[in-house]
Amino acid sequence: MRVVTVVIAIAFGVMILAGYFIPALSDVQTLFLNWAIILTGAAALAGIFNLLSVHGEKIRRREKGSPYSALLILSLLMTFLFSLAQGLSNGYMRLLLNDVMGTILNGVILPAEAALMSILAVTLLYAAIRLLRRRVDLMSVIFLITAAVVMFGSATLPIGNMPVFGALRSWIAEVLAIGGARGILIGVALGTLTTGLRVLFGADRPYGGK
Amino acid sequence: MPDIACPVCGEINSSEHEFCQHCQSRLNPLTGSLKGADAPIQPGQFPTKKNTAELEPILPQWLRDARDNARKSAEEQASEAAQKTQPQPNASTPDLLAGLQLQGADDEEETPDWLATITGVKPKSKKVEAEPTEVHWVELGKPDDVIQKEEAPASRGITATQLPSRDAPDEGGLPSWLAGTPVEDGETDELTAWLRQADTREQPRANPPAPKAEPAPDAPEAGPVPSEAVLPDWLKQMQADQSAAQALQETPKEQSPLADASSDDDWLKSLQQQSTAQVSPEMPAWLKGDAASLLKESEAEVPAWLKSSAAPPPAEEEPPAQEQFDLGDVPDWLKAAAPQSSVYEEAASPAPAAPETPEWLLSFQSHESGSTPAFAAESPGETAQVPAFTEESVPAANADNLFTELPDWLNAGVREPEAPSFAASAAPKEEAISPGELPSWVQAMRPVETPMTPSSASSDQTLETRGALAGLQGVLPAAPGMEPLSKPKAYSIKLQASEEQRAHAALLEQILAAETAPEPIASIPFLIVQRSLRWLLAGLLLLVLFAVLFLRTGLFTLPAGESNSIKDARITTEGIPEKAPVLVVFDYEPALAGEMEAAAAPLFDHMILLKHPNLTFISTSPTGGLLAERFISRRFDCIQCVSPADFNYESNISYVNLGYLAGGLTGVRAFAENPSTAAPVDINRANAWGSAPLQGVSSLSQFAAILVITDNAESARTWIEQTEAKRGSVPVVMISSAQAAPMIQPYYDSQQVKGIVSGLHGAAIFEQSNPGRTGLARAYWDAYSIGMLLAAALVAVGGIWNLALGIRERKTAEGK
Repeated sequence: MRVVTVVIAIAFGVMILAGYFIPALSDVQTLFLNWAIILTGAAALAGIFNLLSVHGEKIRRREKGSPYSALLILSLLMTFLFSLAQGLSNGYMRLLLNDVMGTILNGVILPAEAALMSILAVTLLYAAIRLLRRRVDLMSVIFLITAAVVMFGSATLPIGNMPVFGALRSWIAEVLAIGGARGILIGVALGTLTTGLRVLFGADRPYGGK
Repeated sequence: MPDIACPVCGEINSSEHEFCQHCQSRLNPLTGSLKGADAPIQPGQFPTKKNTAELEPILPQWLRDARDNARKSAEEQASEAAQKTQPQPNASTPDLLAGLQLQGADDEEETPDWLATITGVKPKSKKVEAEPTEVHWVELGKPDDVIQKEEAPASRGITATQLPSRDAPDEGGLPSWLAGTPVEDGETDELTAWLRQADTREQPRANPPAPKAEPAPDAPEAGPVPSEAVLPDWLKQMQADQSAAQALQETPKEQSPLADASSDDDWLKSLQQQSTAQVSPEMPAWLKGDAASLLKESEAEVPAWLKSSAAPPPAEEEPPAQEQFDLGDVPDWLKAAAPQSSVYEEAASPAPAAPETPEWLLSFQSHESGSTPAFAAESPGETAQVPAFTEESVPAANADNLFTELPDWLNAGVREPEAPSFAASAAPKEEAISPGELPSWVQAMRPVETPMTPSSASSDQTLETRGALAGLQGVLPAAPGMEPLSKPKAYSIKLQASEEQRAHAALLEQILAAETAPEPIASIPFLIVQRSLRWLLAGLLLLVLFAVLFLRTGLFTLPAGESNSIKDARITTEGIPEKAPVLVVFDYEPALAGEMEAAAAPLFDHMILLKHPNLTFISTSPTGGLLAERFISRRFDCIQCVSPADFNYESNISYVNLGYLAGGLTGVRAFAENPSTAAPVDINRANAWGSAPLQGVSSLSQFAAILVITDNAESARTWIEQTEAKRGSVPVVMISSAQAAPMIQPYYDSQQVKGIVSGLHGAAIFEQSNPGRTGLARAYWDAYSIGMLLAAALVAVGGIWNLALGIRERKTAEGK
């Protein structure tokens, strides 16, 4: 059975790759890609069902945090029902449901995620302050100095830009940061290429089996 | 012959021994047909069936002798059974002496007169045999030890249920059977009866000492005598010897239970005197049959039962190979009982009082003198009873000899007072064994110091007085050579450990103790300081920022200096044709909606104000469609801020929202290939590609521009890379957050992206290109600047402070 999965994976990968070089296979490539979109949607549904299962089990066993699991499942079901109703309704009901969904977004999703992001800001600030107490080395010092320079350079004074930090910030953002970003992007691209070739050659089998 | 070394343990053994005295292994291997016959059976191996006769040579000597004697006794029994058919006396009580019947059959044995009168067995002529003085060990299998030849029926001892004779008069104090008193009605003591019979029998036996095989037909009847089949062999033998009895030697009267019976001493003395003259130097006359004449002389004076015991003890040891069981083959239990009392006691061969004194009699004397008898007292209640012989018939001088010749089970009843002496006599002879040397289970088995009540049912009552089994009865005596040659080596129980080993053990103990020792938890003050600092930072930031926002100070100036990326973005939007379709991608999360809306608002304001494009919204995020609707319809809460809602864009008229594009990267490629197939309907499930905003648009290349609003570089890369082949010359402008700008900048440098507006800083710069139209950037800028300055200051100052603290802590730790 493992051989069958390997053969299928390699065959489809080769055909999709060939569609880039062989125009006659472009339609086949498109067909396969459409199938992949459907499978991605199905994978999202599987993830949702797994989420329901995990939290449902947590509620059944009355584990610690089971009330939050119940709230999550309830919220999920409500949002799903409203969205489903919004898509199936017409006219006034649709408008009403649109407003409901907007309220959910503006009143629940946005504030909650924004609050978490603000907590992250405070935590990062605290970690930066106590960094040198835990570990004193060159990279820690450079990190803190760079953070301070960028923050100082991003802000302005009532009198104008920061005199030195502004230029440093621009230089750091346009030279140092871009150089690092390029290196990361090239590495990601090469890794993606290598991983794809390994999958096509059967060396890696992320789809299962040994 | 030279000594032989044991092949197993290596110990030296005498050549006479067949088995090693230490490990009991065979000294000489088997040869011939029996070679390997003694090898152990291996697992899985079935034993080979062999004829028992073939294995005769490998049997122990004692077993071989026993087998031979058994065969012979069987033959003799058969012959006796054919000759004698005496009725068995009815016995109302169990045959307590049944074991005595198994002694070697000896046709020549005669029931003693004193016994014959009781049991009714016709006495036989006695045969004089030398009684061996050696110690017989049952386990080594002297033929005499094992074989209990079947006596002729006529010579069998009395059965346990046999009633004693009632003819013997009672002599006060002694048991009736011993005193010879008549048995009263209801009395069931058979010993009393047959002893009484023997006592009353006064007629000497006129029969000469016949050979062993010959009975004694001329022995006078002495009243009701038990059948010979009931009499034990030793009694039969004594009867046979009585016919040729020799005069009993003078025996000491020490501790004679019947010493008080002074009237009995005379006849005993006479017997002894007679026996001394008749003792052969090599073998007792009564054993060899030479004492017949002596018995004749003494028969007139010696009662019948005493005649059997009047035979002098053998002077020398008998040859071991005797095929016929004679008095020299006195029952093992008698021999073993009489001469010695324990394994560890020296062969109590009493020093003969005179050269003529038979050894067997001397052994009885030593036994009387206080040595532990082999048999314990059987009937304590008969201590004071006189044996079953009268004063007239038994010479007083021979009283001791008379009773010394009695088996121990009889003597025990007489000597009951000596029972305490058993332990007392045994105690001095015991080795000084400290309780600490004995195992606990042995100590538990040891009897208490109180006199033991001997069991009358046991035939072997050897009381051990030495060793670990001291105080126990019925213990098999050890054979010569089985004694422990040396005291077992004592091993110290103290642990022998060197100092280094002790130190290691102590160290290991400390380690183990440390494992279970609780570790102190972090101090609470330290945790309080950490939480306090976090709360302080959060409170400070919230306070400052809310204050600035609420106050709308507007003190800080907007950043100056338009970067190239922002400038190109502005130029690109200004080059869009009037009412051209523009694709807008909303790929950011709701958490960053504040920054992204603030960053996108100035560009949208500039583009919509100048070109009034038809917008098409799409997103690869499930919440993107809703965020798009929020953005296009939002009115900013600021004074004199331009909001997208001010443009009054309506769905399906000015814009169309395609909603969520599934498939991620693959979906983007599919959309790029065929947009109408990948996203056919809008969020209202209406046909999007027939609406006004998408009028005449069927491919990606027909859009005037593509605006990607994203907060992560991955989404930007996806739209850039997947649409590059199909978008053609359609410009792409990125509106990103500050954190993703560095990763998108390379695409700008490679001209894959025409412009980038990153974060609030870029929005603030772009916003300055819309003169008179302020947006969220201006409203947020003061708070943004103060927040940035405060954070930077906290990082700088706090970092330096904690650096100093850390250095001090490390120095303190190093100093400790």
